[in-house]
Amino acid sequence: MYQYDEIDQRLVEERAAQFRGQVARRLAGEITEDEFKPLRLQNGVYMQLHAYMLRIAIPYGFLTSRRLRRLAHIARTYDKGYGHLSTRQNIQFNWIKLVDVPDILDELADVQMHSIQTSGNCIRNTTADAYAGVARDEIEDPRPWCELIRQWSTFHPEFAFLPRKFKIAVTGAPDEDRAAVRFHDIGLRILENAEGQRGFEVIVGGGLGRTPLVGEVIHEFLPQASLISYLEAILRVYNLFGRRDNKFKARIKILVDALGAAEFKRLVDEEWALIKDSAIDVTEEELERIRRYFIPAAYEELPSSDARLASFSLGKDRAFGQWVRNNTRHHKVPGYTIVTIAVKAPGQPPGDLTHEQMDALADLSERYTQGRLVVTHAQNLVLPDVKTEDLPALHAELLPLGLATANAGKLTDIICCPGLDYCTLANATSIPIAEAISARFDDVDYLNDIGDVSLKMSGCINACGHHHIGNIGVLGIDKRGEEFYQLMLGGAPGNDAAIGKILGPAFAKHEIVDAVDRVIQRYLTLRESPDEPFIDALRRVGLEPFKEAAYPDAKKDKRPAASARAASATTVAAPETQGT
Amino acid sequence: MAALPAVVTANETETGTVVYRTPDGRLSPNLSEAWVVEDAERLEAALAELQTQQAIVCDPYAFPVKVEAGVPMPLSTRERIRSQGPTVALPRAS
Repeated sequence: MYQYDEIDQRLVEERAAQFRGQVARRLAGEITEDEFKPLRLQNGVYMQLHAYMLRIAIPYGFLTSRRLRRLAHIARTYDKGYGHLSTRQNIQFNWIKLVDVPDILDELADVQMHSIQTSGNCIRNTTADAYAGVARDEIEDPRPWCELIRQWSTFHPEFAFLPRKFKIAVTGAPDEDRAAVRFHDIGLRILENAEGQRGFEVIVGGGLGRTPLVGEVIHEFLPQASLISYLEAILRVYNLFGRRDNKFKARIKILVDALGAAEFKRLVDEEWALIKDSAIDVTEEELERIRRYFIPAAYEELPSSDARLASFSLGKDRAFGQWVRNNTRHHKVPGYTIVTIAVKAPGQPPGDLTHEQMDALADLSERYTQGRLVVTHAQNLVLPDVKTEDLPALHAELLPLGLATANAGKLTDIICCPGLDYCTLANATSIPIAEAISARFDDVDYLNDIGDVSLKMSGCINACGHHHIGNIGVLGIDKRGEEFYQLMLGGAPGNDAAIGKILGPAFAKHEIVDAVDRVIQRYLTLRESPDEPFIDALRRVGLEPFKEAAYPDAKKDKRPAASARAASATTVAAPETQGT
Repeated sequence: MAALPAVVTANETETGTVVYRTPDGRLSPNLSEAWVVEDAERLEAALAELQTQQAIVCDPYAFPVKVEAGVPMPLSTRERIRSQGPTVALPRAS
């Protein structure tokens, strides 16, 4: 786990003190809301539907038990007793009083946490593979690089007022992208060439929102030492040419799309030529300095536990077996297992944790995983270093906490934005739909029969719930004051990146869960075998069979075909032969 | 300007609490106590007045309502949820 050095510590303490003064001036009426708004946003304070919301940064999602306990304390003392894990691997509190924020920031600084750059048109929290550092398929831990980016981008004066917000993600696992790098302003994939050298594939201009686009590769193998100079060149080009006249066209994806990837790359290379091979390059000494601040986990020498893990999943305790099957992963160190805590219990808002759960998880992490936890972009938590032999005991302790739901990667492991229940931007509620879908499919055997399928839901076109890249996506819209929901299929966030395609006219609120159910039923009848995942079956047969299932009365109603507004890019293949 | 009749609302600066302007000029967290304004000039004046109280409230605006049994009811889902709280149960510690 990365430990802040003395410079980081002073920085967060000074920022907390600075904001205390700004809040005091605001409450004294010395500055207006218009003057104050950019200041509070730079400290992660939003005004939401019911109250202020505070977004707290969790760099690349990595938490310690001490930090989680502090978050529990904040939930208990300053909020209504719970927090919400975000898709940026951060945490949000929904019922914060402005007058309390300076004290909260002091409490955060005490455990080396903060809210810096969790809002505003700046470089936001860099995200990473939630299994970083422990994944068996990883060629290099991306976290030191994320930390390098954090240090470079924090309070970078040139990039404090970009045309729009800017998000970077890094993965060190080339075969399975668990960080959605193709849907970030910049996505970085650590690769290794035939000579054993490491470099970055640099992907630019991906994103969701009202214009979903898959990022474009502009450098296939950037030498690692050049990372910061190349990022700086990209940001400079964006800062110079990105649109500032229209916030809906201000993200870098619009610029890359308008210029074309080749021209954008040319501009970046031109800028890069001015700064590369200079003092800005990353030296091995500097990287080693950062690596030293990552205190490694203390692993015991244990025999391989792969067979034991397999036997657990087939044991007589079916609930435990299903949890092992769905919520664990092989660890890179023999004898250890990666555990996903699905914060997706039936009937609970996805990603919400009570202060009691946070405290209990902090305790469990100390006893089972060396006090380390990871927030995932799927709004779950990962315990990265659990001894495989401890899994039965850990599962038994998670059960009474409501945190042993065995649905990681399954249909009810829903990514869901706060929607109209909390958000001022939303057009429709999303949490009630997620809860209804969870209730409808609350049967682990059935979920396992359906297999791996992602469902992502947003309450508006801003796509905080990543609906464009769900195998099944749900988008809430407003039609003359009524909540309606568009259904889209075929999105994928990983190496097979794709943007979902709208299936047809939006469904009324009372219709959408049934429509999702009918889509699942159709998949179950047309898959070639239980081993063919939903997304593969969809790509094989195309949208039409699912459209027929979702709109059974379409011919009778003469409903129109899929909206022409369907997302512009999709890789859902047209079927060569119609499925049965 | 919102369609009439309308209610004037804002958030308390110190706490963020949703408040509504009452007929006697107070700020109440209860929509049922809100002043239902039926006149565009008076609505504009009420908004302008709150704009001058920025240390107390922020971002005042008006939204249309209908009156049922003497109580203002928001026309939009957004304002209904804003006045009543989330439509889902809040996570509670056991």
